[in-house]
Order: sequence, then C-alpha cells, then structure tokens
Amino acid sequence: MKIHVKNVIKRFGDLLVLDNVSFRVYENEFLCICGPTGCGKTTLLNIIAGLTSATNSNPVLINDEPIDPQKHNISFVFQEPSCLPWRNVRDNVRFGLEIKKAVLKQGLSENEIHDKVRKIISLVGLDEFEEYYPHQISGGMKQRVAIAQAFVMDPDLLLMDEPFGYLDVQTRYYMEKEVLRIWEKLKRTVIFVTHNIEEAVYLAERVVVFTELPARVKAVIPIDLPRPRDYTDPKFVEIRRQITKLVKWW
Amino acid sequence: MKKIVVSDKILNILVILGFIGLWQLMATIIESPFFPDVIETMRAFVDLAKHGDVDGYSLLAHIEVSLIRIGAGFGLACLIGIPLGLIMGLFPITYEGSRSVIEPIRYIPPIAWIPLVIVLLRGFSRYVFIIWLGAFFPILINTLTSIPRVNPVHVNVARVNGADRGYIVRHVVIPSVLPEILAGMRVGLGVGWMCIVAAEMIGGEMIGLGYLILKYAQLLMIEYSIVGMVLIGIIGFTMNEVLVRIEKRLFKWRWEVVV
Repeated sequence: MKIHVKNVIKRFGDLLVLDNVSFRVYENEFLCICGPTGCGKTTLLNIIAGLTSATNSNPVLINDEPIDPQKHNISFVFQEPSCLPWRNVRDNVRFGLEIKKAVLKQGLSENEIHDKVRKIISLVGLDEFEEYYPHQISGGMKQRVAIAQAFVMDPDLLLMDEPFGYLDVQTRYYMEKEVLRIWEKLKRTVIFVTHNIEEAVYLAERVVVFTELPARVKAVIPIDLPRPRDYTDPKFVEIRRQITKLVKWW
Repeated sequence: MKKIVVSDKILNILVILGFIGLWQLMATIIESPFFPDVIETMRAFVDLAKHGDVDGYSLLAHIEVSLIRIGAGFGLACLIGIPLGLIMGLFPITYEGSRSVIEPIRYIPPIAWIPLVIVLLRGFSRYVFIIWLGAFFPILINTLTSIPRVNPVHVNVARVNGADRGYIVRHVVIPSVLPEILAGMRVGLGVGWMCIVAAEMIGGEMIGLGYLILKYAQLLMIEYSIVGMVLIGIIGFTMNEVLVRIEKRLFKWRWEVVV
C-alpha cells in the first residue's frame, strides 16, 4: 500500500497544527515520523487513518484514492491503552477480526480466527494471560495486546503512534525487534510515529522529521544501514546525531 | 500499637444497635402516645404479621401488591428510559432540542401530579404512573450522560477496523455505558420506592405498604405506620443489594483494583 500525503492542513480553531505537510510512503516501506512532542504527529496519523478529517479535503491518498477504513485494511496501534476493559486478552485480540466478519462479511472461519489469534498471542508472549482482563495485567502487557490486535489483521497499512512509549526498556527493545521481524516477513507498509530518535533510526527505512508547531516537514532522512542495525555502529550514531540536530528546538 | 480490624458486618450491627438505642431514648424522653418506642413497634409488627390489618389484609399481601406496583412502574421506567437515554445520548440534538421541556418536568415532584393523575387515570395505571415518574428520570439522565464518557480510543479501535455505527453502538458504546445504566437503575429504584406512598394514596385500593402507613396514620396508631416504613426500607435495601451484586459480577473489570 502506498500513501501520498499532500499538503495536509489541519486547524483546531485558531491553532494551526499541520501546515502543508507533504510526503510519500512507498509500497511496503517502514517510515518513521519523528518530531518534538505535541507537534501534531498524532493528528496526522489520525488523518491518515481517516479518524480525523483534515481542514482541506482529501489530502491523503491511499493507492491513489481517499482513505476508507471499510475498504482499506488498516491497523492502528494507539499511544494510549486501547484494550476494551470488558473483554479478556483473547477477545481483545479477536476484536478486529470479529468486526471484519460481522460488518464486512469478509472474515475468516471460526477455526482460522482461533488459530491466528492463538499464534499472535504467543508471539507477543501472552499465552498464559489469554483469559485475563486488562485490569489484571500490566500497562506493558496491555500495549502488547493492542499490538497483537493490530498484527493479527495482516494489515496492508500499519500505523503506530508511539506504541512502545509505555513499555519498559527491555520489552521495548524486544518489541522493536519483533515489529521488524514481522515487517520483514510480511512486507507491509508501516508508518511509525515516535519522538525517540534512536528508535526511529533503528527501525526506519526513511525518517520524516517534523518541525515544532505548526508542523511542517523539516527533512526526510533515508537510512541505508544494513539490518540488524547496531546502535553503536559509527554510521548509526552519525545519523542519530544528524536527526537530533534537526529535531532540537532549544 | 496493635491495629484494630473491624469487619463492616460487625460495624453495621453496632450501628443498628446504636440507632435502635437512640430511637428508644428519644421515645423515652418525648413520652408521647404518637411517638412509639421500639417495643410497641415490634408488637405492632407481630400483630400485623399474625392477624393482618384492620381491613383484614395480611402483611404479606401488602408487600406483594406493593412489589408488583413497584415492579411495573420501575420496569416501565427501564423499558422507556434506557432506550430513550441511548438515543438521546447518541443523537445529542434530540436532547438539546427537547431539554426545555424534559428538564423542568424532571423537577416536578411526583406528588404534585396527584390531582392530574386522579382526573386522567384509573386503577392500576395510577400507581404505575406515579412510580414511573420517580424512577424514569434518574434512569434516563444516567443513560444519556454516560454516552459522551465512552472512551474515544475504544471507538477508534473499532472504526479503524472498519466497524459501522451500528456495530460500534452494540459492541463498544453499550458495554461501556452498561455500568452507568445499572447505577441509574439503582437510583431510579430508590426514587420509585419513595413514591409508593403518593401512588397508593390515590390508587383507590386499601392495600399496599404505602397505604398501610396512611391507614394507620389516620387511626393515630403510629407504631403500625412505622412497621410499614421499616418494611419499605428493608425491601428497598434488599433490592438494591441484589442490583449491586449483579453489578459486581457483570462489571468485575470496574470494581477490581488494578493488580
């Protein structure tokens, strides 16, 4: 799935949040959006997903047409905990598949759903917690549930909004590797928002750097490092330094 | 220092004893034939339970008809209040556009409706209407105000995955607001019980716990009226407890502290 973001403008009242933001995401690319906190990254992601409308009309094209969640297979991992508290871990992971089946009549069979859900839950290491409710597990585990819910959809476009912000360093590192592994295997388009520059350089094929509010695209940095990447590789450090300089607003 | 742990059961028993003691003390001080003490009230209870009231209705019959009336009024309040509250919450314009009528009506005490009810309604519908009036608004208002509190992220998860409005209402909104609706039902049930005397005042039949209170008040046998009051309190409390139990079972995720 390729995405064309062209001249997105978003105002909340008098506040201009996105000021002519344009970039492209190529088919099966892993793109990171990096920028200072509160610069409108989340807003842009919501616009791409069709959850918020831009102030100008149809500035985001997915495969050359306007976004439609019922038509395009999109998954979104939200920044804040998004598990439904009345569903246990397993039923949370199933949620999207159930929607596809009930609303779009294009779902998998019950057996296929069962197997898929089981597999993905064990992938995020929650086998023993299938029956647990969100209030019974930790914040990091909840985020893994949300990630499993997104991955299980085999989305053509995966949007991730600082998905690992709530995780401890260890789990975060593990999840980053996991996301990359899945991406390399499935080859889907990923847009990953983060304010963690190191994370962006570790994950992305290209990093789009935003300015402060109102957000504009400050630079697009390609990262041509072999994978798996090494945080201590001088080239890695150099790119990180370069982006840090761009993001600096003090 | 040793920490003293008192269970709430023991505490409640102590408070009941204290309450009865206070009552007895007041009765002793006031010393009026119209302020019965605990023993007289107990005696009245035994008399009512054994022999029925002056019209020959047994205590159980009183309880039964009152329960049926409450059930009908409260049931109707749920039946109308919950769906209407959902609609008004989902389409705020319906509430915003009608609040100038709904809100003032909400503040009119059910007792104030008595003259109109006498003119307009007959028989069983009188009880149902008065109790319905009391129970309806808490249920309606709780339901409709709970809708904007649905977590937008939960709605967004459904939307991104392609859910339509109907699916979101059924699978996100309703499960989210169910606890609020049940809370509204509990309040509504309480207010419904509070209307029982008003309802039975005009119902036309000589039976029902509310009417029992009125009947003996007219006979100046206040200890018998108090039996009716206490029974209403106990039955209301029991029904509330049942709803609380249901709540705790259904919405474990809301009651349990995060581990």
